[in-house]
Amino acid sequence: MTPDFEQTIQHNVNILHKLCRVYSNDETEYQELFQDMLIQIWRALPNFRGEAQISTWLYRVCINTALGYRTRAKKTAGKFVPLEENLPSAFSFGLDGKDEQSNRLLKAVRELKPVDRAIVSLYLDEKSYEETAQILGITKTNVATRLMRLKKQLLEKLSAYE
Amino acid sequence: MNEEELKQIWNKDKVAVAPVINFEALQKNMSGWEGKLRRKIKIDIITNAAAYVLLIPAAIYYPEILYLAPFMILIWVWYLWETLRIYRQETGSTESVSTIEYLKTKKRFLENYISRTRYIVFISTPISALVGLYMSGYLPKIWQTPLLLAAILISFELMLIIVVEIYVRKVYLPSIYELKELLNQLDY
Repeated sequence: MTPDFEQTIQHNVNILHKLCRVYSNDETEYQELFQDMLIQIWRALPNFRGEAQISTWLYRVCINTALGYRTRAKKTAGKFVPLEENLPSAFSFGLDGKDEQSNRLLKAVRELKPVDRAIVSLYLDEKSYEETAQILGITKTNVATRLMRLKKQLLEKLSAYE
Repeated sequence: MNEEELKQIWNKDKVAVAPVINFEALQKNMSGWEGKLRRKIKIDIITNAAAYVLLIPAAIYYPEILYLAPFMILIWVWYLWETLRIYRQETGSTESVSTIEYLKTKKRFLENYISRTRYIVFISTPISALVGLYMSGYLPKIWQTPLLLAAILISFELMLIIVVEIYVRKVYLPSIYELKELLNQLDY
């Protein structure tokens, strides 16, 4: 049975929110990407067969949308109907009013290469190597090797900000 | 700072409220980049079909151009086949496959679209030019001087190649390079 779209979004909204923050460069991009993800989930949800967990499936759709958005961001910039009136203020690009550590971590993740940002986001969201490998279509060994390097890189960046 | 602390900081950034989904706005925005490509493909088919239909009255007045009909039908069938294949690939839901598969499909789609644009323009336009020359009555005269005919066709073809290549490089190649770069990042 196809899961309900609204419920799926409500239960997993933080997946979209965090990936949008990680992959956008400003508020407009955040809003566009969030909307783009909603559209792709809406389109793809009827094809969800329940072979993977819904959250794993959502990560796939959202990461693919975010990476696809990069290759077309310049062409569609400003052509979306804005969602500001629909999105509560918590959904935004910046972290104003949040603690300094969260700001630094987000800044450090944003400085990584696009694919590395996905690997780090999945790791920080407690996804196993196997799930990360399934989502990205690479091997578990590849995930493990990259994560070792990325964790080191991330910690170095964070200590440089202090 | 250790890894556990990193995760704790990461998990502080959470939204507790769910967005109210405006389905009307969602539908409006469906016409994003992919929607635009689909519309473009549909317009391609319609304009090409219209061009062929327009040749029918011309064939009544100049029945000789019917000699070209088998070639044009072959090109049209091939064109339609390719376009529909790309259209199906584009409209198929590829968002939920693994990232590497998604990026490979997107890259293949763009490469196919470029090839199709190149072939259709480089093959069918010179044929149309010959039809045009024939209809204008110049072809039998130019036919007497094969060098002139060859020069006209070669210059025309070169001009087409330059225009199409500039268009393709400006519109599609940057996206293909981006996709290649992402695939390289995945060690593909």
